[in-house]
Amino acid sequence: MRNVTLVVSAALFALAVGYWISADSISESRLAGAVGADGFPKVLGVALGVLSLILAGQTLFESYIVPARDKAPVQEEAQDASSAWRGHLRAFGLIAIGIAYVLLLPYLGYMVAGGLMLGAVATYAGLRPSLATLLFAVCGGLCFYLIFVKLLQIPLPAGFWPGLVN
Amino acid sequence: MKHYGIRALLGAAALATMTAGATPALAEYPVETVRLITHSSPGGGMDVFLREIGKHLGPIMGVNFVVENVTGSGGAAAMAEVVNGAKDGSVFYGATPTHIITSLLSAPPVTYEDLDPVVNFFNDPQTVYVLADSPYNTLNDVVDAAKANPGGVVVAVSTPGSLDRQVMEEFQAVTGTSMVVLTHDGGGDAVLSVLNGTAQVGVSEIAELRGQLDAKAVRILATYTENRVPGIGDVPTAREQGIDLVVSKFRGLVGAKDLPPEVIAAWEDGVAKLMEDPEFRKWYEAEGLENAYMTQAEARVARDEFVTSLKAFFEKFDIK
Amino acid sequence: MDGISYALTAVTTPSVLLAAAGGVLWGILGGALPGLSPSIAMALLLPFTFDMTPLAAIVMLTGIYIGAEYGGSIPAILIRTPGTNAAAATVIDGYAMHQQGRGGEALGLSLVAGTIAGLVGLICLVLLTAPLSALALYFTPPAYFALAIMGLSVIAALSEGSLVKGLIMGIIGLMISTIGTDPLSGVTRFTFGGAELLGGIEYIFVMLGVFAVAELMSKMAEGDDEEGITKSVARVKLPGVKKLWALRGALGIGTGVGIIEGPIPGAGGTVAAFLSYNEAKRWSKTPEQFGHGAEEGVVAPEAANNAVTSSALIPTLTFGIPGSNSMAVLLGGLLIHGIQPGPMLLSTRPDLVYGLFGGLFLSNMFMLIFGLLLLGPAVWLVNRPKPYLTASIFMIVLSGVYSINQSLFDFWVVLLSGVLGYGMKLLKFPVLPLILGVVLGYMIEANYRRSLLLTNGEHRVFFENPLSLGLLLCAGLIIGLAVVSEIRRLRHGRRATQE
Repeated sequence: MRNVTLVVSAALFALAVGYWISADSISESRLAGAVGADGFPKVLGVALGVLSLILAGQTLFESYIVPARDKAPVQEEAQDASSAWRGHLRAFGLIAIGIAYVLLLPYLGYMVAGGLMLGAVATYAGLRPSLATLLFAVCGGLCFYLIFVKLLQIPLPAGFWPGLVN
Repeated sequence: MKHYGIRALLGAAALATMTAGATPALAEYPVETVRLITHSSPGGGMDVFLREIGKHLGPIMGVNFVVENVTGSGGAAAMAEVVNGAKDGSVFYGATPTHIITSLLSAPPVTYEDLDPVVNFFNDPQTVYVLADSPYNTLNDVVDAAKANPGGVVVAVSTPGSLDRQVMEEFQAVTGTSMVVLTHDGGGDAVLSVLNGTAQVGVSEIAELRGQLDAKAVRILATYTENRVPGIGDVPTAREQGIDLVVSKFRGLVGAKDLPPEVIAAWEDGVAKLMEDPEFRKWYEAEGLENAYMTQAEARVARDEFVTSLKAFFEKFDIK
Repeated sequence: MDGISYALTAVTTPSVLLAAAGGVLWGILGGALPGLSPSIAMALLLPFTFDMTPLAAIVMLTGIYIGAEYGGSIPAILIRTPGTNAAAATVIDGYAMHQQGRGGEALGLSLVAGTIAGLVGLICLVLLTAPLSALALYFTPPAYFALAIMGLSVIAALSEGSLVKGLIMGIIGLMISTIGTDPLSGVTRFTFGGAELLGGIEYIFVMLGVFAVAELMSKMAEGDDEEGITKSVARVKLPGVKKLWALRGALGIGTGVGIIEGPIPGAGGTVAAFLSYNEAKRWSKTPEQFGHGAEEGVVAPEAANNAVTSSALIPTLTFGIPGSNSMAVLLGGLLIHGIQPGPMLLSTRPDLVYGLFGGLFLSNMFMLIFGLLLLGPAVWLVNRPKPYLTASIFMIVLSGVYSINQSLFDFWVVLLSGVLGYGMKLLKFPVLPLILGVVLGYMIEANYRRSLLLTNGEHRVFFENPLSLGLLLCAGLIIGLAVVSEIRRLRHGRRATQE
């Protein structure tokens, strides 16, 4: 955990530097007033840099005064870590489905892409593929379409289907 | 979220006046249904304006108008919608200076350059106003105060990229004064700043001031227009007061490039008739809008002039 | 009194009754669907109000607003998804209560607290219009800046034990708020040349990501655990008089903060909800329960955002100046009917103003009724098996967002925020500071720079303006108290490890 925190501190520091540089390249306008458009972002960049160093320092300090309690259960920890990683992978699988959905949305349209996503996520979350899954996907897609597009009038993408009619 | 404002919503008053004069239709328009796209949300200024046009112009042109709100990205999405639509006169974009500002400040996939003006309808007059008990009675009083106390006069304007902001920056250049131009998140906030004394002077469109004008809480000192604006008392223009500034906050219609000539002709004739329609006239005069009808050729010239001046402004003040 | 008779006439007019009922019902639905803000829910029905009488039209629009501000708390409590911006503060303790099987209680508390606060707010709207509208005028740029700083100082108290981590997340939130158009010059910042980021990132995208998507990811990571906590959800349970009396502190804080924040343009329900959450925690006898299912943590923010629905009407009606998107839509609705709000409204159209007050009373009553009717089905829905529930929540999150900009880009922002939120959860970075940073960043920067513009760069103004000075002192106090308790915690922790 401590090592992870150190890595995160480093990443935050890098973010701070990157953000500051990016803020520095904001074009200066004569209309910006006493503090320019880059003023506030630069302060934020410096603050994040300092805070990330403090976080790293705090972590090192804590590991200094609380020496890694007992090094015995290293093996157990490793096992925990690998199961944790499996969990994270599963978590990111959900994001992958989300990405696929957003990519397909403009082509397949909201109803179809939505139905596919509902089916995919339900299966991914542990539902055994069955008629029920199919039914859920089809009815779900239709329901969401009716609620968001027909009732709420949100013009979600229709996909290529209307093109087929003409 | 950040840039709310009543300006976006004004102009709405009109839908209450619900009549459509049955004028005989002109030459056959090539399509039956025309989509008018706006980037403002339902109830917003442009939205109401387009609905009003649909109501009065429908019978004149013999066309069924549908208003669609394609919001987001400062008009970029709406512009793309029009350019990607059919090129038969069935889809247009209700344009204000916003779409040109968006095109110049960011690099949207579709810009004003991919579009062509069709007709212009109105100019939305920009006015300079003060509190009713303000010591300033003319624009020159403001100039004198600013000269006597550089940086001492605060002017409230709406958003940073707005035309009212731009005109006050120009104002300082023209008059050789130095004032504080205070930007806000929307026109309403700017009015509040004048009401609570944070700013001594404000710039705004008429519709946004109407409530305060009726209550005689504010006075208009000048308008940045060619001619005096009816309906707000007899207020001299800035030019009459010796300050040569005219702002054209246009409201027009743009479409895809190379539309069929008969489509353009139908619009030019139809809108020319529309502007004389007494009901429609009643509406826009109550709104404080100025008739600024232009044919396609005129509108093209006006747009190019506008783009040039806007570019010059952005360059002068390093806005990118 | 004429006012009372106007109001009575209004509440007995069938068209007004129908408008209030329809508006509230639609509002609750819109508020409960994340991504559909109260203002969008109002705008969607705006065209239908064109043919109504002016009174029915504004009663309907305000009814939607009231319903939506309440509706946002339903998904906040049940699925860790704030339906509206202002429900973000409710998520923490509401969802914790739900996880403990007390979701039904939390929903009942939110509904009753919201109704009471709405009614108290309405009384203040009627009796204190003049002083509250004067309040809106007191807020000049230095005061806005100080108010936002006070809001931000809450980070210190809400950092759940790690001040450094809380501050880091606060800064990242502020960084997110700098994306878009610069508030003063109009220069674009951190938009990478695209038009999508020109208007900045909507708060709700970040909230949906770090709350809802991150929670779904955690559920996935836990694996096929069929023993979902949702199974143990009790039925909807309304708080009794005794319970309400016990919670009177939080209720009073929420209502008071809401009524004061409402008329201040730009502050709105979100800031009010967070401030009252923090105050309720400070004054609570059991502050350690906050974050772990404290009833006060639901009552205070929900009372605040419903109290705002009444007092936010003040600047719209008395100046004709809307303080938020929702109020801008309401103003549009008024203008469509040829009604010009402003200083003259009360004298020219008292029938309308008092009629609206009557309509607001109706709307709050309908909110209570519909809330009771809808909560049962809502609880039933979240008791469905986990795979269906997970899929549906993910779908809801990736649907309503589209209504804001009609841009697929916004889905990416939500998904990315989800990954950020998941990472924060793993590394034990607190979420609320991030949200506060995102919500307050623009207000802080814009008003800081506006203040300096007014004074030619002199910082004195923040201490010379009495309102600004007072708010900054409050902020200092909040931070000071939090730092003291952090130091105490560290010392205590060290002693514990040394022993």
